[in-house]
This record gives sequence, structure tokens and C-alpha cells, in this order.
Amino acid sequence: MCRNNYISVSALFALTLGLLPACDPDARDSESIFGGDDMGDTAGDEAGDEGGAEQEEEIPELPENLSAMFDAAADEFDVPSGLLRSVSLIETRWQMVQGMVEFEGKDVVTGIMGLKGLQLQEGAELAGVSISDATTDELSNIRSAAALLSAMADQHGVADRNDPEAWTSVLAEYSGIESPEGQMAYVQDEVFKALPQTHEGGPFLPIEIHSGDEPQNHATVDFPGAIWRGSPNYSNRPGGTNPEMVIIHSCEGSYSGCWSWLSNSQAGVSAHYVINNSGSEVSQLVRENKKAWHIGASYNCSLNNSTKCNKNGSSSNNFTIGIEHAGYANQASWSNGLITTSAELVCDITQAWGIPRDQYHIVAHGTLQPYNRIDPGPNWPWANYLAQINAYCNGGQPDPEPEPEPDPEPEPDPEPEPDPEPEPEPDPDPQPSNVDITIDSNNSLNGPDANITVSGSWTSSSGPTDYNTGYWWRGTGAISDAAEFAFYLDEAATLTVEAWWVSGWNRSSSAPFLIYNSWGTHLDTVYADQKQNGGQWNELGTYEFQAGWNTIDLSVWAPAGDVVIADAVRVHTP
Amino acid sequence: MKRFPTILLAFALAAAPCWLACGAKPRSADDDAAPSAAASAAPAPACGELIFLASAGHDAPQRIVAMDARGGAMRTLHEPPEDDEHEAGEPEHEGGGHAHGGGDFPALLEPSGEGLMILRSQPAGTGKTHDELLRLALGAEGATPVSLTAGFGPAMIRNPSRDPAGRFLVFESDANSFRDLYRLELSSNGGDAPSVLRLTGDEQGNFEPALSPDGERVAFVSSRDGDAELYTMTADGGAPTRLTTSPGDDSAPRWSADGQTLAFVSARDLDRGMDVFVIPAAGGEAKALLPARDAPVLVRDLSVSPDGTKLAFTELSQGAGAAVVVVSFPEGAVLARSRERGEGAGATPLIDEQPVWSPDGKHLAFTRGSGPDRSDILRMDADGRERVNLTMGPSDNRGVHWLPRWSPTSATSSCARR
Repeated sequence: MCRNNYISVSALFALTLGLLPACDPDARDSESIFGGDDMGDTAGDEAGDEGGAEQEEEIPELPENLSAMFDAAADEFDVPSGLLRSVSLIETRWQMVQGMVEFEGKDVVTGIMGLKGLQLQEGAELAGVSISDATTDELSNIRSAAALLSAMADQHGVADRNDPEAWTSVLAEYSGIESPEGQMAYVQDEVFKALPQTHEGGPFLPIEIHSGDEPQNHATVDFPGAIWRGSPNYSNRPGGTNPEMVIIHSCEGSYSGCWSWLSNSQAGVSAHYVINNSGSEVSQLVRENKKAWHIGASYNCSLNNSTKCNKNGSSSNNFTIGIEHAGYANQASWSNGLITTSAELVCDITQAWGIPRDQYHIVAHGTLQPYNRIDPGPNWPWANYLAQINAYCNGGQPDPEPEPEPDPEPEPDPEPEPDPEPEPEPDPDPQPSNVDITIDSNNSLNGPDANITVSGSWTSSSGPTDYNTGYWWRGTGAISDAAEFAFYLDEAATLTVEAWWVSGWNRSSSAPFLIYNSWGTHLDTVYADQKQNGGQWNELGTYEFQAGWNTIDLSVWAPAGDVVIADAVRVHTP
Repeated sequence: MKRFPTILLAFALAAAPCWLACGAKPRSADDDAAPSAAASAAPAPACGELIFLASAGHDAPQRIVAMDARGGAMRTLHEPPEDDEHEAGEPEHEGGGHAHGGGDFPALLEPSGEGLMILRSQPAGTGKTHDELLRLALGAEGATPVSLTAGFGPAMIRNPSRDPAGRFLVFESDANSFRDLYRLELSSNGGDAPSVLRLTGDEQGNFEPALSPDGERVAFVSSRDGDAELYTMTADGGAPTRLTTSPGDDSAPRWSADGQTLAFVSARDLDRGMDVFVIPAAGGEAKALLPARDAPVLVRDLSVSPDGTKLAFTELSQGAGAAVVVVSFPEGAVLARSRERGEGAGATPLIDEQPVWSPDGKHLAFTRGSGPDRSDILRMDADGRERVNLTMGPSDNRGVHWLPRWSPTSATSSCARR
């Protein structure tokens, strides 16, 4: 039977799919996945009608305190509260996250509002909060995003802020998505569509959804119900090679941002599938029998319990299928809908290609590429996920004993046959490029990847041994008023931290430097004697930092009567 | 140094250099009190107001008064509160001072003329004093001085130097040590910041801070390396840098208007006594500012003119009293003297001292002491032509007027009314 009863939250999609003139002859027959079964609450039985009544999507409970924060930020910056809620739902499902690098060249995402890259610094500055607060504190992150959206609304000339349409260009820019199709999908199909579910009353009303490009070439999807969004970033699998594993990824971003990037020829990367964060929509970008470029690592079976050691040294892309999931490796939880849909998709893939349904053949990206990836992260519900996959494939029965894997029998692979075309995969080199960032006390001398924040209680000064142009000083005492040196990393890196100060008799002999990574994790506190060694770089230590805005805070919490000096901090590859 | 005029040495009050052009220009020529001198080119009218300390005699109660810079009646600005401790002070210092070892003294005048910082000093035994800095608002009649240093000390406070932008003071105190430098915030910048920050800590002592015109650097004297030498540091106590190396004491640094040069007093050349020298503020060679005089001199009260082109100082000569000398700066050519050598010499030589510049830099006021119970405030042109005694009244020969400060505004003058 054809899986044509895909129940989307979008009436439009349901309609479109429902009107498909014919089933895809290539599509594999399988059980209906999106409706009519008991594998989750993604679709209700009552929604199975053709023509698709508006479908309640699985929306997480919005805690009251968050609701109040959205409202407060909305009032303060004159941005509709519903819009803030909707953006947050689409970006993070109302979770505080710190994105990591999944795709080279894409900004990492921070916080409940999904602020991307330098947006975080810009928003934090507009909202008057420190970068570390914007990274770790929900309200600060929401206020930063609201301030940024408000400023962008001014730039874009949004006349009536209560008119959703008027925000289209603002949201398109906020999304960080480059392609018009991706922007339109983000704004219309995701943010606007979520409005009626996130907004409570008021004049901000849902508008009619009119997606830009309708799914093309439905006939080409391997997983019926998926939307075909073909990517140019693929190549042929080496001769005789079929998919033998499924790799589970997290996008480290929103759904539209994910599929639009992976279908952009400039990205040079792709995946076979992308699933949105509620599980209500699946995009297919590359046919399963083709090679998508979703994992940079060469295969190393020792990372995977000696499974398929004959593949060692070859590109992992050659024999795997990659599934991206909208979300973040360090988010606290994944929606049931997403897990259910993904499980159904994986079941479908394993049935089509005869792939064992176990942890050795359904593998995390981070497992195979541990030097710079951890996705889908520690909160991916592996046990439940594998159980659901098996349940789908066995009609709800436990999987019969997994077929004995013939490995590690040295099956004479006809490879290595050289790739017909060079595969512009992510750099598999575990050594990232050299980092050397100096955060000066003077922001006008800082690059876009460096920022200092001090309160009005710090005093500027200058002297012959300062770094560049002057420094900040403040009296010590039992108070929290740290000077924050922040730096942005595209990618996680191990870096040596150094600090520069102007020494003097009244300097604190225990100036506390607090080292945080971009997840807000406190890595260390180093007490520096600023009475000594002024006018030079002084090493504080070497730490593992994450992609995003990492911070070095110089606290004033030290025995009173002294001063601490915030002049410059440098981080560099050891 | 037998007859060093100790009457005023007791209180080493900063000479309140007016770094900023005070901006009070003569409004018109219709001033009612024309200057007395009838020269071909009439001297510029003196504008503003002089503020100084006045008493009937060295043992009489003293008050802070104001007088139009062109002369006139004295108007009381401040009388210290009745305090038995003043009267019950220890014996007066050698040489016989006006003060009782305590009292309220005009320390620094804000360049705008809106406020006067008063140093209140009370004897505390064994040569120590307990001092306080207060601010007296000058705009309102009957204002009461407000303490700026409540909670600091009790300790001696000396040589306050004001940030030209008015943000803070740096001063010298024995609060925690023999003598170290402290910074006092004048405007609360966060509420919780300590209002007083200690800047130095050397048991040999740190003295005589002078803030640079941009308020960023402190020149000061320290004996940390064995004897009194000049140092600079940042205004928050950072990166102390030694400037001088001489066996004789170096002291009393003053900044040039551009912050590039320091004038100071040095005992490095015995033939000169204690004379004026200059040194680049960034370090370099110290040079005498003037040619050597016939006999050793004792120089103090260095005061740079508002535009930075002139330096005034007190020059004491053995047996000949003291004169106020004005020289070009940094060239060192003598432009004016408050009196010629020998003039006023006698059994009790005149002591001309404490020069202070008018905000427009065209005049100076100074103190002329002529005995234990007589000193006057005089005004002279920067070129020395006009000298007017402003306080010599018709009464008896008793009357002590000293520590002049020059405000750009005046309650009575038509030049620039407050």
C-alpha cells in the first residue's frame, strides 16, 4: 500500500500528498507510519481523513515562568510574544541549548532562542546583558533575541509589528538561512505555522500558510511521505556497495536551516534525510542508493565494536545512510514525535537494505567521528529508539534474534575503487586550524570573534605597560561584577589562555579568572597574582573550549582593598 | 635652613594648579574698579574672586573669605565650627604659626569655582594630625561643608591633587603606614566601590602626588629605593616607573600642560641649594631650569600657568626672604619677580610665597609675609608690572591673610558673575 496518508500539521501538505495521482512505483511498501498506529501521538486517528483537518502537533508544555519571560521581553522590545514563542519552539523546542559544529561554515546556535554565531553578541549588547548570561540564562537569551529582532524590525522598516507578514524579511534574516526556499519554509511553514499554537490571544493572528516551493519529484522519494528536496551534494557509491549502516546526526540547528543548507551546492555536505523537531515532516535530499556526504571520518571499526572492519580506511559515506534531526546534541530531551518518525524511517531503511537493527548498524555520528563530533548527544534515547525501530519492523513484536553478523570475516571487498569524483567532505583532520584570538579591553580593537563586557563600576585607565590602549580596573570585594572576555569559536578547540595586566602594589594577589566554555560549563578558576608580571602575557592554563561564545570572567570577588585589572586575554592553539 | 617660613610649611597644601583654562573672560571694559597702574598698555582686568584664609593675628580665629580679584571687602565663606580641640591643641610649631596646629584650610578649588575643598586638621599628639577633606559648595549662601573622607582614617591627609576632570583625588596619608598614596573617588561610580583606594605600599614612604593633565598618571615622590626620587604610575596605582636617580632628594613634581614634562625641586646640586629642574615625563635626563644664582636658593610652591607656558615658584634666598618668580616654561627665562632682590630686605625680610595663577593666566596672587602677625594677599600681572596689595587695610599692623585660591567666578564682579 502507498503511504499517502501522511498527516502533516500543515493542511496544505496533507492535501498535497493526499492528491498524489499515483503512488511512487519506487517507493517501498510498508506500514503507514504517520497515522493510524499507536507508535506515538504524532498523528491522531481522527486526523486520518483525506483533506487533513488541522492537526495538533506535539507541542511541549510551556512552563509558566518561560511564558512570563516571553511576555516580558515582548513588552520591553515591542516584539509580539507569540512570535518569540514560535521562533523558540522552532529553533529549540523551548530548551536552552548550545549548538556545536555539525556543518563546517555554519554558525553555532546558542540558547532557547537559537541565536546564531555573532547574533548572540549583538543581541546581548542590545539587551545590555553579558554574553555568558545570554548563553546560560533563559531570560537573558530571550531578551537578547527580542532586542535583536526589534532592531532588525527597525532596519527592515516593519511598520505594523502586529502584522505577521511584516516580519517575514526579519525572520528570514534571523534564520541565518541563505537560500530563499529555506527562508520561506522557515518563516511560513515553521514559525508562522507554530503561531496559533504558541500565541495566546491578542491581535497576532495566524495567517494562511502558503509555502514557496512545493515538494518536487515526489516520485523519487524512498520513504513515502517524505518531501523531496534534492541536494546536488552526492555521488555514486563505489561499485557493488550498498548501504550497510545508518548514521544518526543532529542538525545543531533548525529544520529549515538544516535541509536548506544541505541542499545548497556551496555547503559541500548533505544527508539522505532531515527530520523536523516534532517529527511531523521528513525531507529526503539524496536517494538511498546514492552516497550522501554526511560524515567526514574515514571508517575505523575499532570505534564501533569491530563491526565491518573490512571497511576500515574507506569513507564512511560509502556504505551508510545519514539522517539529520533538527535539534542539538546537548539539548535536554528529544520529542517523542521525532523519535517515532525517525524510528519508522530507520525501520524502513533497514528493511529495504537488509541492515541489522542493532547498535552496531544504527550508529551515532559522534561514535564514528569522536574527535570533533558528539551528535546526536547524550540525551538521544537509544534504548527506546532501537526498541521502536524493531517494533515497527516486527509489528510491535520484539525483534527476533539479530541475524548473526558475518563480520569480521574478511569479505573481499571489490573496493577500493577510487571515487569517480572528488568528494568535498568535511576535513577529516582531527587537528583543527590554528586559533589565536586576543580579546582587548577596548572593543573597538576587537574582531567580530572577540568581545569584552564590563559594568559601569569598572574604571578605565592607561599606562606604559598596558596592552594596546588602556585597561579596566575595579576594587575587589564580595560582589559579582566580573569583567567578561568572550571569544567565538567555529569549532571546539583546545586552547591555551593567557592574560595581560598592569601590575602594581595594590593589585590583587588572587585575581580570580573563571574559565567557561560555550555551554556555560565552568572549566576552572585560576587565581593570578597581579602584583607581579605586568606588561606581559601570563599563562592561565589550557582548556577544551566548545564552538560558540566561550568566556573568561575576571571576578572581583577577592579580599577587599585591592584592585583587579582587566586588560587583555589571549587564547591560542597550544 | 634657619628661617624657612614655617608658618605655612605646616600644611603642605597643593597649589591648586589651574590646568584648565577657566573660561571666565572679561566681559567688557566697563568694570567699575579700574586697576591702579596707569601704564601705556593697561593691564588686563583681574576677574573672578580670590579665596583665602584670614585672621586678625596668628593666634586669632581664622575664617575662609572671598574677595573680588580687583580688591574690596572680604566676605566670609566659612568659619570652622567651635571646637575646643582647636584651642587645646599642643604647643604651636617652632617658628610660631598662625594656626593652632589645627583648623579648616582652603585646599583645592574646583576649576569651575563651584566648590572648594577644605582640609580640616586636628592635632592628634606626637606630631600627628587627624584630618578630613570636605567640600564647600560656593554657590549657595550658608552652605555647610560635606565630608568627602568619612570613614577614612583617622589619619593625616596631605597634598591632595585633583583629577582635572573632577572624578577623583589622589592624596598622601599615614592611615596605614608611614606615608602612602590613596585615591578618593569624588563621584560614586557604582555605589559599592570603595571610595578610597590605596595606591602604594612602601615602608620608606610615598609622597606628594601630582595628577597629570589628562588625569591618567600620577607623578610622585618615593623613598622606596633609598632616597627621595621621582616616580610615575597610573592613576590607579599601576606600573610604577622610576624617573630620577640622584643622591639629593627630588620632590614636588608638577606636570607641564601637555603632560610631556615634569618640573620638580631637586637638591642634587649643592651649589644651587634646592632648585627647579625639569625632566621628560617618560624618563630621560634631568636639567636645571634656570642658570645658577649667586648663592644657593630654596625653591618651592611650583605652579604651572593654565596655558602651560609659564612656571611660578617661591624662591627663598639666604637672609633675603622669599620672592615669587615667574619664568617661561620650559625655557626658564625670568619674566617677572614679586620683588627685586634686596627689596624689602631688613631685619624681617619679606616672604613672598604661595603663588597662584588667575584662571586666565594673566595674573597671579601670592602671600606676602612681613612678620608673625602680618601677611597680605597681593596680586600682580604675569609680567610683573602691576602689584596690588589687596588686604593691607588702614588698621593696625595685625592681620594674617594667606593660602590664596583664585576662582573664575565672583559674586560681585561684573566680569563673570557666579
